[in-house]
Amino acid sequence: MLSADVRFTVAQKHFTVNLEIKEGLCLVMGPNGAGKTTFLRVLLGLFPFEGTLHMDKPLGYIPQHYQPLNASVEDNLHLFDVKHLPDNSPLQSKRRLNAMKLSGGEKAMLGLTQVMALQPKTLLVDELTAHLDQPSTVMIENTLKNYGSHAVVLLVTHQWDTLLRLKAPTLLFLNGSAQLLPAEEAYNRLLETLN
Amino acid sequence: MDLALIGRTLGFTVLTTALACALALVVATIYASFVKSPWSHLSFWRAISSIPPVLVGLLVYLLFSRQGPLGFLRWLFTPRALVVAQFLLAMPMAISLCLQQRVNLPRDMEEFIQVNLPSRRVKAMMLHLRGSLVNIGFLTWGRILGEVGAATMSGGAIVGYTATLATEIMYRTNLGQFANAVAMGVVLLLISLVPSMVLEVTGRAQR
Repeated sequence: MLSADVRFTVAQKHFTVNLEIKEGLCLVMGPNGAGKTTFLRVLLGLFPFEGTLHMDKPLGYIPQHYQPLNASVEDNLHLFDVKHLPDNSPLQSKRRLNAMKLSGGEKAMLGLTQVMALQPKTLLVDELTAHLDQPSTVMIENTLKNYGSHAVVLLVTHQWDTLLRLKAPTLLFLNGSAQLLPAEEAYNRLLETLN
Repeated sequence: MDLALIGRTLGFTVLTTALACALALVVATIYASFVKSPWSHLSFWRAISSIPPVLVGLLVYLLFSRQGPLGFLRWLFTPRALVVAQFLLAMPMAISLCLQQRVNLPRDMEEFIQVNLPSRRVKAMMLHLRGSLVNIGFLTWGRILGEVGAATMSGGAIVGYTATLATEIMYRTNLGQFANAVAMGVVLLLISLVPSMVLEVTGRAQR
């Protein structure tokens, strides 16, 4: 469960977020600079805020610019006690390779594999699919959706097609506040921002 | 030309330099991995890493001389004192380079480790630093390999005992034994170039 009633300030802009999520995948959307990433950092205790915050622990977090450490895929996985990979994992045949040489999609999958091995009850993912092709994006979306069946997953994204595909409830950041909306309403509100 | 002496001095130089570098790398890796805000320590260690070698030699001399606090060890003018001096020369440089490597880790990744691996942060940092240790080792190797001041004051540059190639070149030149000095100079030049060559070859292989 995630319950937040928080206020925070970035560059003299004030943000208010009030939400409660019991379980499942929830998207976090809004224009650039709307406070999405800062909100994740508030949840992680990395940014000062006022208000109350309750989350199931442990937390898992994949940042916007995730990069594996400059070591083999195997070493990166061992750091998180990952001993076995599923047979269909794209990393299976690349365990010996330096993780920096993985493609964008494979790096994202590596980050996800690492963090999911910690079995977080609350998983925060910041724009992991931003630079990925469609198949990699869909694979990661599905992985997160499945994981959401027994945890709270927040996925920050700018991709409207993700919203259309997943039809997940969306925390929409607009004009300094955030509202948790059903997928269709969030999409319509996003369309309105274009006018 | 005294080939036996050159060989013996070469072996001693490589051994003591390698030992000092290895010790410096171990200390630097542990220090840089434990530090929570590397940028706040970086300027200090960067400044210390340019300390004149002769001052390090003086410090070691004062520490290990009979009246010094560590005089009871009787290490002055032994290979041990020489390694201590080389270690003290190499360590600040190794630490500043390791800290620089830590600073280069993007903020996102610092937070990724801080949130996901709070109890294994040091292990993660060591893994991050490991990839750069060869480079850092070679740079510190270059810093202490041809050094004369600290080596002379701490080891005494005793021929066949604590003389390194660099101190021996100076000694032979003073004696007018230019053939020996030039031969040792060539050997010193070659072993100082080895790291660059290794880095070049491995770098090309990785590209």
